Amino acid sequence: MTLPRRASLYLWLIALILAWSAGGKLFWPAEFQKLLHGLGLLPPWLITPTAYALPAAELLVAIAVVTGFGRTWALFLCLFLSLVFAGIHAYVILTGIPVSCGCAGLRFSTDTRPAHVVMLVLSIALALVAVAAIFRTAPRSDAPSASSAGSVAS
Amino acid sequence: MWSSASSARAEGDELVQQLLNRQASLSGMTAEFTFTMYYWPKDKDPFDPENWVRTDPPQLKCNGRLVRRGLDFRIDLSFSGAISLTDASHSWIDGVRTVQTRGEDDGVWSVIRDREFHRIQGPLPFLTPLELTVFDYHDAPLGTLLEAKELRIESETAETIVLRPGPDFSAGEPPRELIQVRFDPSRGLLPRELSARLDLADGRFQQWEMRTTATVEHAGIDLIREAIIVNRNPHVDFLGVFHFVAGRVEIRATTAASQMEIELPTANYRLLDELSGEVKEVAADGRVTFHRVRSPEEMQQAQEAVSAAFEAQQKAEETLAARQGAFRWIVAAAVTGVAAVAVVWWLRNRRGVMTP
Repeated sequence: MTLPRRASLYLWLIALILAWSAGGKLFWPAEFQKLLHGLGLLPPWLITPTAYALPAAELLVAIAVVTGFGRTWALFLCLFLSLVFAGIHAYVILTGIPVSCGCAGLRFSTDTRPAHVVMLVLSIALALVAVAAIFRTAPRSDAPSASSAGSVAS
Repeated sequence: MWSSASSARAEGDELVQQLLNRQASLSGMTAEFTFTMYYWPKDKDPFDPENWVRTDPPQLKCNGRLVRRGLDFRIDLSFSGAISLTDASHSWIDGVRTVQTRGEDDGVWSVIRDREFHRIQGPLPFLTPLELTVFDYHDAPLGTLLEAKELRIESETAETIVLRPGPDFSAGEPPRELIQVRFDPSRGLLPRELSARLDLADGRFQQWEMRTTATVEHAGIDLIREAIIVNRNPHVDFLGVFHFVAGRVEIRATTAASQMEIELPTANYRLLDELSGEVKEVAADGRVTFHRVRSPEEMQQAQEAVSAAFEAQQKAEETLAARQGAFRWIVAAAVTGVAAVAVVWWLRNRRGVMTP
């Protein structure tokens, strides 16, 4: 299935954001684990699996969104991640305890309130784009034969 | 109604008296014992030794000796096993703890004097019952606490009593501790089972349980010879179980006070006396290398610093628990949001509605 040019642009945007976010976490998992410890949201036994599973999931979503292979499921996963990220940033803003989170990749992780506001807006935007994209794609688009970056852009 | 209340009070008073009698009868007790710590998976019964995870060497093993006289006692502990702890001698005399340990690295003796009852290492089932660990914020056995109204009897049957802290204990706060003890009334209130639960913030709790598995009679008094002590914590997958075995336990009528005192070393030691404020270091040749007596103000400041650090630690734990709780809600909300979108998406596809 092909998508309108604007929709394709949004999908590429999702892919780029998630791929960027996953990159640093995948390359420096130890640093990301430190950030997760500092964030204090996860019980200790979940930190190591999350430090590997989260960037892997982000990268898979990015690939799936671009290639079209399992795109719908990837968009649902993207929606879930975006909602979780939005919830975390909203909580951090409300409680007034800024923490480096690694959501925007390790390079841009800062522990300032404005950074969390930006990330909250970005997460909400990502969730909205994912919802819009979900309703613009049909289950048939998940078929491997219909998946390619070219079909997205065409 | 009044008569039944006064009758219950009378029964409670009788029980307290019986507990105090037992407490008094344990004066002069001498015991040589071993306790070994194992782990157990929390979905299994910890009181079944088959479920204990045994390692070689065991996680923690301790050979100990206890001498008791009235409410005073002395415990000598020698540790071995995978978890390394420094051997220690503790004495508790007239409300003062003295602990002596020897540094593993430099061999220097360390002597501390204070009133910190809860720092006496346990757990031990001897002191009527289990108060070394369970009542680690108190400095008196069960009978004494009941007599002083720091604990009150919530309910009582022929064999079991349920206790709560008394009204004055926590300055009007609702009691968080629940203590249940099952005694053997035919054997001089020998404790058979004990459960002490302390409810913490955010649904957390800590619970200690003890079950007596073997007893011995000496001088007409039934004594615990073997017990299993379990520490429950719902947030940990593997928990500690202590198997306590007394090789010898008896009552001696002629236990002298001097048997409980810890003699201070003459050289090669550090002394920290929290009561007098004295800090002293003595070299191996007996030369005093450091000596200072802290003023009451300095000691007060040090105590306040410890309290502040403790409060900060508690606050950090509460913050962490609140964050983890919030995270669970965030994930639940995200799942709900995704599910809602999925349902709408599925219904639209089912009806064949396709966006252009």
